Amino acid sequence: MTNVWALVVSVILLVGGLLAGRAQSAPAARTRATWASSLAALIGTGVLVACWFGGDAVGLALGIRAEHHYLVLASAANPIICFLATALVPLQSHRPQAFRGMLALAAIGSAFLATEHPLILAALWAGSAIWTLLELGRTPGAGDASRLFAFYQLPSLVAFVVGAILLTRGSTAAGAILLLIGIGIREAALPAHGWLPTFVEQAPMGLVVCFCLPQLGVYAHLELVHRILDPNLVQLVARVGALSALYGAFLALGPTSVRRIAAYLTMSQTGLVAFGLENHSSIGWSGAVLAWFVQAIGISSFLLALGALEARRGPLRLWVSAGDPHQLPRLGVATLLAGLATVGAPLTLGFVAEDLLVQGSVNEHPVLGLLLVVVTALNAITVMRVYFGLFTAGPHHPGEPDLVPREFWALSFALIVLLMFGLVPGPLVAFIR
Amino acid sequence: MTSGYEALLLVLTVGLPFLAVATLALGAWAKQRLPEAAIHRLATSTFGLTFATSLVLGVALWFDGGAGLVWSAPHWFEIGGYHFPLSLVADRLSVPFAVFSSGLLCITAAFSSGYLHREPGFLRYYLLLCLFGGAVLLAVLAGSLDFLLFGWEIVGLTSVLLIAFFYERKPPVSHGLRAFIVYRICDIGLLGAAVWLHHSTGSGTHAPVLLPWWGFEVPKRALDVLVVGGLLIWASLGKGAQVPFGGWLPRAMEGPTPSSAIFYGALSVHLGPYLLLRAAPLLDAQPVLGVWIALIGLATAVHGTLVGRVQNDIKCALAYASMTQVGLIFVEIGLGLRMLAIVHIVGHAALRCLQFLRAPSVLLDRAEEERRAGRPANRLLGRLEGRLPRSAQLWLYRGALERGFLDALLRDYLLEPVLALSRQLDQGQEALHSLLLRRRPPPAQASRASKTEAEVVR
Repeated sequence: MTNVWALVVSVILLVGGLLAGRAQSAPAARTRATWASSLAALIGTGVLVACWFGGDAVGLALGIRAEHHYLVLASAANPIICFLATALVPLQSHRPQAFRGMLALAAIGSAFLATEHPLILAALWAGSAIWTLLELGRTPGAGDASRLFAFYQLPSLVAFVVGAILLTRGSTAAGAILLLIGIGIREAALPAHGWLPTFVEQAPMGLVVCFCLPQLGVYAHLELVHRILDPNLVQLVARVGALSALYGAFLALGPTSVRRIAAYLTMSQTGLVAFGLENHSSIGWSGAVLAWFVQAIGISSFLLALGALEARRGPLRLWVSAGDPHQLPRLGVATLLAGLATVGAPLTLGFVAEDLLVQGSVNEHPVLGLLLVVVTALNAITVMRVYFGLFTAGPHHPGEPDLVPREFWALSFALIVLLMFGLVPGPLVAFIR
Repeated sequence: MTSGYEALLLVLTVGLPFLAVATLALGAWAKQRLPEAAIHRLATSTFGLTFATSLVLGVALWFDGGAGLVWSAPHWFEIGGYHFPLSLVADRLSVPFAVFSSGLLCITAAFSSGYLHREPGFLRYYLLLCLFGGAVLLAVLAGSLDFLLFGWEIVGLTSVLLIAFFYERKPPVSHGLRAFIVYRICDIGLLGAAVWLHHSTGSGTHAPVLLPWWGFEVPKRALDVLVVGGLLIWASLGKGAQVPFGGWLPRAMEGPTPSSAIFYGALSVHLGPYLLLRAAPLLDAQPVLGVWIALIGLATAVHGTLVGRVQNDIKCALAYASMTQVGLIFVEIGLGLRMLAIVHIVGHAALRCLQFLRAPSVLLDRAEEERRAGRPANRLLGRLEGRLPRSAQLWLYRGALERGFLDALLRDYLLEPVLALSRQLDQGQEALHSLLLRRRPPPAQASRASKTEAEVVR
């Protein structure tokens, strides 16, 4: 067992999910889900902050092996995502059972982070994909997304399970390739990214965030594949990651559907992580792990803030005004800050992640490393385009509420995490190195 | 050797505006209604204090012999032999910039309260002004290229948020987005240069490699010098509004007049030349870099002065006048006249800031003058054009009205094709999925940009 507290978090989320599923109404389900997820998030963040303050000594006391220090970040990110989702998703698009679904997915995610055994990982991998497919099937108007999801994710599931079985039987080369295929499809790497835009467009935002943003593929990659990968495949993974990042960033420039843009932004940022993971230098690798954490929190906050805006105004399209910054000042600021943190704006942890990622990769991959600089610039343009395209002039909407207290505290928490670690990143970087 | 109080002064000069930002931001996030007078006093006194600390730094530098005062903290973060240095440098380049920046910021903060009285975005304006001020002082006093980048990016962000300050109208928003696109495309150069400098020298920290001020370390290989120098020149084009990227500058005048004064008359627009002055050791190592800078500056100066002559809006005319002067500063830097460039920057910033702040009242004064005289005021420009042949006059006039066709070229051959290709790829993917799912393909989106996006690229 790699980390016990991830398992504790998983159990809390599972119990919370069961309680939420039994609630008679959506508000009651949300209340139960939010309590459970906030407790889980507090545990995850508590461990992270303790390691941030205490460094290696705390890691040792918690029984975390040095090579698993990065797990502290992932184990905190997963419940935080779930907390943000339960607190921010609109009730109009989420039934009581949807909260159960979100907590179940987060519980699977935390359990995934608590083990290293390939077969258990494969079972959890399959569980999360199938659960999402079932939830998607129950969502009205998500027929296309459901079929497309099945079309892409079932091969991913099969490849991952067979890869894990081969790995346990000693066929490391074939196993690693199959695992990479499974992970690549799930992480929407080029050319297997096609399911993501439709999924983000049609699925409830809570499901999108809980399935995509924990990026379980990153953990699977690090635990199962990273050490046994052939050098040629290492190069291939790095290239596919960089090209996915570039292609996603490029495609995000075109559409006017905000959900579609968000999907491509997610694809691009995920590609950056994939690229960084295959760095031999600890600098680039640490940048990738930090980027993994930043994106989990940042993109989740960004997407959920957009979801909150969508609940107030209906489907979002650029240059069709959706938010008056005078009426929705905190929602506007939260959307902007979360987006900017994701793309590496100064004063946030994203800046540190981007800096390490680029600095670490340029020795090994000079061209691709500099390409990342272009990607981050394009993604920043996308974030600003979304902000300006939504929070701008338009018809006045009297009586529209800004963030309600629940949303306010959830987004404040996410932003504090991104800003606090962004201002004092030294101990965190030293801990995960 | 930097003493404790000198180090404290350096930290205060950069830190005080950020402290004001934190105060205002927390108040705004908690929805506390801060009175206008309190906001105004906080911002003005902050910049007043930074002006004082900068002046004292200048005096301390004078007594120290001008070699440079340095403050450096333990690395912000470090791993595997790479570290992000946290250091500030007060030398003969940064101190004059810090003094005039904080002085002008103080004046602008004092002036703005009357201009923006009862404006709903009063707090937002001062918050962004303080953030901008802190970022400028950070960029100027930074002791490394990485730290400079930190301030540089915040300057860009505050700039576009202030251009789009009056978001009730679409043009300010689309112009803000346009400026952001230019900034980010040019910032690729700065981040790339920071990375390549680390790659080639192992450090991005300023060093006393060239008197009279500190500069970037010079890579050993000529190719590395050219790459880093070229990327820095690229970075300076955006903020410095140089050809061919200067089209955002007149459009940036949509923001409040005091912000136009401090950003595009005084500080933001001079950060490009500042970066090149800091890169002086690279320019000395590869003189061809200086030639590029001089040529770009010359082209910008000619472009700015021609286009500026046909503007019928006072702020746009001032914007092009700024562009022209910054172009000349580029020429001076390219020719190695660096002290002249510094004097030019300080003088131009002070004059232009005053002109922008006075612009609304100048119009009133002029109308009053014309009313009293009973005839239109004398036109000051036009003597040069009058000596040209008629055909050349018409040709120049048309070119100036079309802003040298640069915007059209960028729009038709760069932005619109890129956006169209992105949309086509997205639609192609959708069509493929329609085949897979055996459904009718979704209606195609407009292949051209939406109306507002067309304004962005226009």
